[in-house]
Amino acid sequence: MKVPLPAWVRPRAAIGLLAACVVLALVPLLNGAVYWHNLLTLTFVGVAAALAWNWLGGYLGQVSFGHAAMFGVGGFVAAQLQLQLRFPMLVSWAIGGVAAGAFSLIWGHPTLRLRGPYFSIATIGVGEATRLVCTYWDWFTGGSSGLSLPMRSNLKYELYWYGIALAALAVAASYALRRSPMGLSLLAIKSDVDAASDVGVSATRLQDWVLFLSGLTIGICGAFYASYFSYIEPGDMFGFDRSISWVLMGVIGGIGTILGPALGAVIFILVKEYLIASYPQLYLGLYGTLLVLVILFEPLGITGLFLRLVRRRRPDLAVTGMAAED
Amino acid sequence: MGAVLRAERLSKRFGGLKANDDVSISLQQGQILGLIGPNGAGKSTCFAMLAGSIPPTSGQIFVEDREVTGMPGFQIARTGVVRTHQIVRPFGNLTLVENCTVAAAQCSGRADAGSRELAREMLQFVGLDKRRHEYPGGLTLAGRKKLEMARALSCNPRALLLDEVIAGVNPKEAQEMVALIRRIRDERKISILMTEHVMAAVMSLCEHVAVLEAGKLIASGSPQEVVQNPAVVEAYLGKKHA
Repeated sequence: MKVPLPAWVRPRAAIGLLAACVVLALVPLLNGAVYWHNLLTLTFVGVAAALAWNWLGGYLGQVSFGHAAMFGVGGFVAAQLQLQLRFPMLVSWAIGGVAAGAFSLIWGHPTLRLRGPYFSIATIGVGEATRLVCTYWDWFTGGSSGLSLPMRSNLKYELYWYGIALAALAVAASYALRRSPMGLSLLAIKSDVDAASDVGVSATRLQDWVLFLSGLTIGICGAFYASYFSYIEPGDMFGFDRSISWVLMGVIGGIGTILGPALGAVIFILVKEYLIASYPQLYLGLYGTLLVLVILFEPLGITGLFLRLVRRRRPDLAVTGMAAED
Repeated sequence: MGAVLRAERLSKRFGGLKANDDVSISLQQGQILGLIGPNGAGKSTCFAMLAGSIPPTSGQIFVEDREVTGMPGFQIARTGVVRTHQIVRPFGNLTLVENCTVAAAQCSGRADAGSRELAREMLQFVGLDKRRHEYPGGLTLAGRKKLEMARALSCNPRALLLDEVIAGVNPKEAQEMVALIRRIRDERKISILMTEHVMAAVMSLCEHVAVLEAGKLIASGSPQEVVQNPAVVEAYLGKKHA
């Protein structure tokens, strides 16, 4: 059987993704995988969210410190749909995702014309404002006591496979966004928005699309998270540290690369697990130090280290559009 | 033979400065039209308005009888009027072929594979085909100018606006550029509006020349007529030479 693929898809990449999914899907069937089960599920959500953050922060070069806003909107909309209207889980996830995407457009459409640090500062404001409003909005979020979702036996166990699907879709979308002509146009906008416009690239439209997709995916992650823990509260869902965690994952793994943020998410979550267990007071400080070291010595994170090892120069991965000019 | 691109009574004010004042230009099908004038005469402003980078204060722009005044740049590019930049602006994070693919994918109306093919064809046309998987950072200035042209050509335009593509390259490369511009018109059937400081190139390439001075169109005609026009000589050299 021959599957028709677009010209920019390498068959090797598609096969690799499928193989990884199959292997991960079989893990819970092993004995003694219970501990890993929970950690891996959280890692899948982290991978999907970090990749979605990277579409905006890496491909387009617009770093957001407020993505937890969409995570929370997706989570609470999905939770309310299940609680109030008895929607099936997957339908509520989808609607939660779309709501989060729409929400991101409301603040993002006007702010995306700001570039670089100005955009980032705006996102901090958006993230915090959303958190505060939602903390006081009892009807929507249950206020600071939060919401409890209906529990179903075995759901937590099954969600592992949903998590794989979510992460795999995010990886596939990252690949498509990076290598399709649309992805090339995003990189062109990052490099020089006016020159891009002169060859027919509609920056506004493309930026809005990427923001929507990013918000949608993060929103679905939030909805997944709500179903997984069956209890959510605004301080956690909309937390600033959550937004920062995706920035960290991207920076550790390699901003703007296809798989870097996924790798960053895996490392972030594993290291955090270890650090919280061993040094609960120190762990944020240690992350801060790590972040400073990465930015100082290897702005492309782990991917950059790898490229250095194989001695390849990749201007397409430049962190800013300017740096690529040599 | 109609006009591919026509500007009628175009004016642009920046505060108190009239950068362009009542400029009317028409680029005929298959023509190479030169827009010349001393520094600060308003050539770049005129280009920017024609390409949709800045809106005119007054006046109208037509692409083959369709009014495009006030359209944003990316839409003008899609109607078939594409500009290059005097100071080259390659996408440094994309390979040469990807640089051109972006343009082809947005403007040419071709699907995925077709746009990559067109991009490659245009790189071949300007002679950069062998280096298509390299990044612009490794090219010489002349190479980057060719890339700029290949990228504009990948939009499959009807009219190409070339902003000083010859200035700044060595004499041998300048000759190549002149030949290339002629081939764009002859082989690709694309009408060309060019500004240029290298007069020899203007004289040999352009059938028609329009002269801007202090934002106003002061002369137009064949290159030979224009260089003998006293108003033009005065604009370039001062009153006592006129």
